[in-house]
Amino acid sequence: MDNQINCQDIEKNLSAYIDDELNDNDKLFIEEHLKNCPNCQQQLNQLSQTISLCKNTLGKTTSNLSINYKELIEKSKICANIEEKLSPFLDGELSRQEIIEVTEHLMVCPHCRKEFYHLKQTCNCLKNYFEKSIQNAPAKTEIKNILSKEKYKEYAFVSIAAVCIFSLLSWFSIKTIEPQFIEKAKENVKSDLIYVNSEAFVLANSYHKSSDNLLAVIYGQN
Amino acid sequence: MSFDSSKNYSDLEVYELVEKCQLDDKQALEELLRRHEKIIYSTLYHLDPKREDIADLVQEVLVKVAKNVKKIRNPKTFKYWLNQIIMNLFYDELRKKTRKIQTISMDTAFVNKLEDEIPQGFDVEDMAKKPHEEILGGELDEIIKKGIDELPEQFRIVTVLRELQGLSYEEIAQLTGTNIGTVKSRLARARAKLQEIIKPYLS
Ligand SMILES: [Zn+2]
Ligand SMILES: [Zn+2]
Repeated sequence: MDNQINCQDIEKNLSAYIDDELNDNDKLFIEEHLKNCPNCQQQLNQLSQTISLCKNTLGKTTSNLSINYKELIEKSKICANIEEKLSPFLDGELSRQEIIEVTEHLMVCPHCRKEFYHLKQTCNCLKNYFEKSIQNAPAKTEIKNILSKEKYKEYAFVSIAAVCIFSLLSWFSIKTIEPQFIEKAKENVKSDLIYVNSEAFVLANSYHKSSDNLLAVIYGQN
Repeated sequence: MSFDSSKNYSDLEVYELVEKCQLDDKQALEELLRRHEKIIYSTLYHLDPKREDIADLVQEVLVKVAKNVKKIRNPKTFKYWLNQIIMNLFYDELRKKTRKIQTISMDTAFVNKLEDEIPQGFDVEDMAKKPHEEILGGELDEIIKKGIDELPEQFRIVTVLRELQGLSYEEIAQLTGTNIGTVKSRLARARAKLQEIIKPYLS
C-alpha cells in the first residue's frame, strides 16, 4: 500500500485512537503502522502529550466518567451548541468567554474535535482554491490607459525644495507652526539632521497625512 | 541618502502605496492597480458566476480606485474601501439584471435564489459517486467552483468576502447591510454545505 496515503489515514484517526474510539480492526491497523512509521509515532506522541496536558490543566478526565443516558443527552446538547460556534471560532470571531468555552470543550470532546478538524480542512481547501483562482486570474486591463485618462501628475523625482516652493507659490500660506511637532521631528532624526526650516516642514506635512512618513520624506530616511 | 521615490514600489505595503497615490504619485498608483487587478477579477468572477464581461467590471473598479484613492481617510483601510467599490458595483449590476429579468418574465427561480435558504435542488449526488478514486487537484477545484456557484447569492457573498478577501465579520456585515449574527450563521451554513461536497475528495 502507498505509504503516504496510509500516513494521512493514520493521522486522521490518531485522535480517535487516543480516545479509544476505534473498533478493533482499525486499532490494529494503526498499531501495525505505528511500528514501522517514526513520523506517525511522533505525531501520536505530540498529540497525546497535548491532550493529557490539557486535561490535567483543566482537572478533567473523561476516562472515569460513567456515562448514562441523561448525561448523553446533555452532552449532545452541549455539542450542538459548540458545533454552531466552530466556524466563528476558526475565524477568531467569538467573544473571549466563548473562545474559552469552545477550547475547553474541544479538549475533552473527540466528536467536536473531529468536526472542527473537518471544518478546518474544508476552509483550507477553500483558501487554496481561492489563492489559485487569484493567481490564475487574467491581468489584461490597460492600466496605462486608466492612468493617462486620470491625468496624474508626475511627482516622482521632485525634490523637497521644489515641492516646498511650488506649494508656497500656489496655495499655501503659513500662519502657525506647532512647536512640539518640530521638536519631535528633531528628536527622531538625531544625527543625520538636514536643515529643514519650519515652513518646509509644515508644507510637507500638508502633503503627507502621516507624520512618520513625513520624516522619511524630508530626511530621506527609511 | 536614498530618496523616497527610488524605493522599489513592489516592496511597498498597500497602505504605503495609497499614501503615495494621495501625493499624486503615478508610479505608486500603477503598482496599486496592478497588485489588485487579479483579486478584483477573482472576486467578481465568484460573486456573479454567470457573468461573462468580468474584465469590463474589473476595469470599472480600477478606474474608480484611480479616481477616488485620494479620498481614503485611513490608508490602512484600503481593503475594506476597495470591497465597498466592488460590492456597490456588484449590487448595481444585480439590480440592472433583476429589472431585466422581471420585464422579460416573472422568473421566480431567480427571486428564490436571493432568499435565505439553501435551495432544495442543491444536488451533490453525482459528485459523491467516486469518493475513493484519486482525483487531480484541478478536478477538485472544479468541484469547489461548482459548489460555490450553486450556493444561494447571500451565502456565496459571505463566502467570497471571507475566504477570498479575508474580511472581518463586521466588515462583511457592513458591506452586505446585515448584522454580525447573520454573517456568522450564513458563513457557517455555507461552509457546511461546501464541506459536504469536498469531504468525499479528501483522503
Ligand atoms: Zn505513517
Ligand atoms: Zn462535543
